Amino acid sequence: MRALVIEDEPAVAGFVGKGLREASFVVELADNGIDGCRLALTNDYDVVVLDLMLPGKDGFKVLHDLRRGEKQTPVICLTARDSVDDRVKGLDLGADDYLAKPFSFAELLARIRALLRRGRAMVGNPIVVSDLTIDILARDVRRGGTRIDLSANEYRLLEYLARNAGCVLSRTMILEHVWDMNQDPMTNVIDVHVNRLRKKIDARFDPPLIHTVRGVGYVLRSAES
Amino acid sequence: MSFDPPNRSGRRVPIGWTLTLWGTAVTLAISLLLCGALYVGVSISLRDQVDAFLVGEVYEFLGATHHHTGSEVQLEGDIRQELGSRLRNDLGFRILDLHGKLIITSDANDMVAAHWRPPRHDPQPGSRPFFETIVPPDGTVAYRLCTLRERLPDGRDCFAQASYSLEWTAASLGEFRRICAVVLALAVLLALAAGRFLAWRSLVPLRQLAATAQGIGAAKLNQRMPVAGVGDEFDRLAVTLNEMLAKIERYVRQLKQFTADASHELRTPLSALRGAAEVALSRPRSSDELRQVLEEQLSHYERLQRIAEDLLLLARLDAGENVLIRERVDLNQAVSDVVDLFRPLAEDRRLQLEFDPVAPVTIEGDNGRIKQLLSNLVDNAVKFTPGPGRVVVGLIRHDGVAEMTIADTGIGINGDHLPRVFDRFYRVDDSRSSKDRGAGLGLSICRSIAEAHGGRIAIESRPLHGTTVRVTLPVRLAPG
Repeated sequence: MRALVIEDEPAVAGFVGKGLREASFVVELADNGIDGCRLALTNDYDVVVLDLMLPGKDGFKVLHDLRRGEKQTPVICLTARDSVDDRVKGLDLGADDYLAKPFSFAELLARIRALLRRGRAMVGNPIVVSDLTIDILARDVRRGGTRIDLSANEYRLLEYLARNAGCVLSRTMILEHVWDMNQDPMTNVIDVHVNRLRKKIDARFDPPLIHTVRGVGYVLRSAES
Repeated sequence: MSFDPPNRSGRRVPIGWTLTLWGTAVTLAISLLLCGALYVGVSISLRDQVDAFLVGEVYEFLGATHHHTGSEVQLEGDIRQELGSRLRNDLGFRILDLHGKLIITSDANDMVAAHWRPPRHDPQPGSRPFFETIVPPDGTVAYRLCTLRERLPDGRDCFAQASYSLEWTAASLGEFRRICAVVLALAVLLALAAGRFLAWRSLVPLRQLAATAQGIGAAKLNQRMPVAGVGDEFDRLAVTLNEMLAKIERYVRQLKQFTADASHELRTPLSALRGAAEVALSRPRSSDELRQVLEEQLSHYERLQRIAEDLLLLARLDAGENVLIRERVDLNQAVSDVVDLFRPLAEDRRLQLEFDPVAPVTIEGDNGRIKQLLSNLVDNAVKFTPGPGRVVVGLIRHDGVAEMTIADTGIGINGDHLPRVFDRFYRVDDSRSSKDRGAGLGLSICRSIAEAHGGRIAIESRPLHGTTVRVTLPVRLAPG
């Protein structure tokens, strides 16, 4: 996996680069918009991490030039200004995701992985993870052939986990996708939902499929993967 | 103390002087009008007296010359005697024929003879006398001329004239003008002095207000303007200023409290971060120990981040910065989403979380922020209600507003705390562990979100019985 990090702040570029390398990415760094844009247009990256406030050429401009150059590389924008306008503008220009500083690296990594997964393949129907099958059209969930009744919320949560099977999803991402709420998850409300789902999916079956990743979130995966 | 406004706006005359000058100008105008009217009246009256006197004299003269027979224009001695004291040098008589030829005169060299001209009209016999004022072109004193048409005993028609010097009248009028000038000058001086005094006197309260205002600084905001209690404009001004001062004092106090609280809230996790790192580095540690320290650091850091984000959001909402997305929000859906999110948490705590979905209530607003507001409130309700209990969420629309209520059967809030629960960093219960408690910004954010939508938030509570929070949002956002 190749990642391009366009970020002028050395401290941020440093830990993002280090973190991504340790997560098996090949990372290139650009500390200004002009170099970053040139690299993104000439090379093929799997993902671009783009700071919006850059010397030389700001992030919006880079994004604009990238999309005009027919580059469909997934882009995650980083910004210190969490204003609505910036967010809307970034997404309109073709950003795939958006993260406000300060962010946690685990959150960034989870989002990058979700993006990469989305780019790789549309999931088929039904989704199969180990002995769990989810028929998206019929909203039918079975494990080991046994039908499992889920509430509407539980189903949405499971479908989101299953569509990103093998990818760690943060609590913020879950809140965003399942409840359409764009904020910090308060208290342990997401954990309570995941635990309920767990009771229905994992309690009576082996092996457990929903795993907690400490400090990050949750992942649905079969034991062997 | 001077009341000069800054010399920017061009208005440089102090208000006291402006008042004084206006008063003086008005006094002067009224005095001028009065003097002018009196002058005109007096001069008309004087002229009428002269005219009446002249008519009488003309008839006397005609009577006395009735038996004048000679062809001499000079008065005969007996007639002269008969007229006696009437023959003065400021009074002249004569009789002329209709062509202006002199028949008889009291004094051949009188001033009238020098400036003779025929009467401008031609009065008929027995008609009313005709008067005119003659101003000699050589600059000598003007005189009044009265002309009558009469029939002489010999059957000839003639003009009989009497003239009277206006020297005395002019002298009287001149005297009158001088008196007027003195009166006017006195009036102006008096008006200036009185105006100055009155302006000074009436501005005394203003000067006091200014003096007090100058003494009030950021450190002495508890001072108030003196109110005389007479209910005049200055009292109203003082009361208004006092209300403004009270507001400013409240804001400043809140700001100070906020700054103190914010620095306290930030200091605690900062010192924990620093201390833990220093202790960890003070001697060699195993990687497990170091990992534990770093994990603790991360949790403190998360707390700091949360506070920073909340403060930033509050600052933005308060600054009226455009942080709201305008979109159509189905409140019924928003409430349902939030209730669904919290239901498992509530059930775990043996709470019934109830919401009866209603017909769609659509308003203009920011869906995300409204959900944030609702989840803060529902979160609080669930947190502070021990099981078994209920949390009931209601939604109705009335009079152009949507009203949401979140009512719980929880521990309630003491009346002492109730007015302050929306204040930043205000926590009802400070005894909870720092891990469990929030930063005390949740309700502040709720209020700021409601107010950014042009709405309101209110709280009522009975200790041990429960709390109800009521949020009203206008159906339509104000433009802008």
